[in-house]
Amino acid sequence: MPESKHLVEGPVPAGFISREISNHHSKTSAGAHALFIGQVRDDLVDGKMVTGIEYSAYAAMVDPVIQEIKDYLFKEFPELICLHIQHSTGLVKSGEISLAVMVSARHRKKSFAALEKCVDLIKEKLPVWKKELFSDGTSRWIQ
Amino acid sequence: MPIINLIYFGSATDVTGISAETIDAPPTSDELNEFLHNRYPGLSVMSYRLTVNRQLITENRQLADGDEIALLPPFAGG
Repeated sequence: MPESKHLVEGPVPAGFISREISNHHSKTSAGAHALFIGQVRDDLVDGKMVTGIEYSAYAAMVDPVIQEIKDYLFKEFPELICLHIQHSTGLVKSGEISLAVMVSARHRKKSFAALEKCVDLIKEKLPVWKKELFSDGTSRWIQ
Repeated sequence: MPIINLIYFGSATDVTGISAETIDAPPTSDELNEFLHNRYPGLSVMSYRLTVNRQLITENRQLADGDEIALLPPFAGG
């Protein structure tokens, strides 16, 4: 098992998202939940189809980095109520989910703004790497 | 000479052929970079950052016994 509460081995299950939504019925001060769902795309590269992505992470650094991202966002967006992130490690096939982010705020505009910033920060700061796997058995690192 | 634990990630593992090793390292991070470039010439042409005990470093620093040093190529999450 990955040593981070924010990492999941393989695809992020769609059930994570519905569970998060159910869990938030008790957070009655929230008027908006904004969701970002990242899905692996079947890009065509030099005539070869992407069949999946192999993710790897510096698991021990993931939770501290996500805490930093949260601290920044709660300061930048005082209206934010909560924030949940799940990222995959290991194999995620095309069409499966590799990242789920849910941001809750009092009002929708702040939830959208915070969500966009959050995903940007994940891309910039989270110690995660991905290798595209192609239909012919070859692969390449994405940087 | 500090004994350190090195961890490699992403494309760096293709260059080193391993994901981790314990080495008798030079005393500073700058010298460690030089040492690694000699040991794995492919690293000298790739872009990466170092962490010491899970903190990104931006300047040269002294290494100590038991330090966990990781080589991080550009991130590609999401």
